[in-house]
Amino acid sequence: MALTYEPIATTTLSSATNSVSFTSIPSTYTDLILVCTNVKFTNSAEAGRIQFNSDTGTNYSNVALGGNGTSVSTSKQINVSSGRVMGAFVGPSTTQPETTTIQINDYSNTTTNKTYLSRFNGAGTEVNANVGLWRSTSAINQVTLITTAGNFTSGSVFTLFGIQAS
Amino acid sequence: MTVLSLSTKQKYGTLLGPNSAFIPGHYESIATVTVGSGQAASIDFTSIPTTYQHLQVRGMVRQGGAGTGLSNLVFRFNADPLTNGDTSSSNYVGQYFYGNGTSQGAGISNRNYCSDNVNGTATTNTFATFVMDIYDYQDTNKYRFFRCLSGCDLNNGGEVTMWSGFWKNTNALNQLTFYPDNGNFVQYSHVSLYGIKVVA
Repeated sequence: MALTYEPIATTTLSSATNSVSFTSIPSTYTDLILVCTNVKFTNSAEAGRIQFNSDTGTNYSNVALGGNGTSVSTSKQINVSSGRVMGAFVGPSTTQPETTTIQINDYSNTTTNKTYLSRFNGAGTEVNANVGLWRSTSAINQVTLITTAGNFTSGSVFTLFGIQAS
Repeated sequence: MTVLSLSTKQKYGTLLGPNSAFIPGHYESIATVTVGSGQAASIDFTSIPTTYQHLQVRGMVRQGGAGTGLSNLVFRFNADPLTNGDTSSSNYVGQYFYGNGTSQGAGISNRNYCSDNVNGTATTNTFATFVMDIYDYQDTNKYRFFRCLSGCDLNNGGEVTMWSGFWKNTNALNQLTFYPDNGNFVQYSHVSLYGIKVVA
């Protein structure tokens, strides 16, 4: 049996920043998993978002489903310049560390648009699931997480894994 | 003890020589099915090894049947029901929770659905994606349980869904089949099966 599920790279923030990138991602895996742990934000007004291959065009869309302990919500965004992956409704926490897992299946194929799934876990804010589309058939070789208001705080950890199918 | 490496001509104090230790992984690829240009009525994994504790299935799928929006991915364990495409089996039950950007809902499914799927005339080159976990797939003391996160976005139309369900059977799982509920899987659909070990 083929062994798989390998860490590709890890970034632990030593200072607050509004952007974290993984570049030169090898094409040798089948799927990517981006695990974000101990993540806090300096501003709770905006969700964490994702971009691929430095594309800042309006080629992204997404659907979110979330709950905050009181109510359930869903929303969608179309033709936007990045995809939502964290804190869709209440907004992320500035005090409690939160985790997010992002699944990017078949990231290196060059024939289909790219779809990702994410699960955001904010114990003090909300839990949500997102599906997002990047309308490009390019192989993904760069993943960037951004905030559009404030920063990821120092100590936030981002680890990119690769899974290789047989 | 000293070991002389025939490749480096150097001496080492370990039998590994200049090599790093091989550490077996606990997450292994079992098999992958990728649909070719001829399309496929089903994606099958047979003779699943018994050497793991849990299974994970990861895939992206699209079906060729008519329709512009979303549909469902159907599965069966151990060829139950007997007929491919049968969604009327009473041997499965599950819960689902979804949001499509406009409305959200939840329900109970008595059918063997496990994921979103995309119909044939939806946005070109767009597939549904899913990650499905099947726990304790060999434990004959309880029913076969799964959970799944799936979704598809069509740039104004889409859905993200959480699923959980079980097969009302305690048999060890040795066969897993996926099929569309409308038409065939189109080219580039693919599903991969992984096994997860635990430390003894």
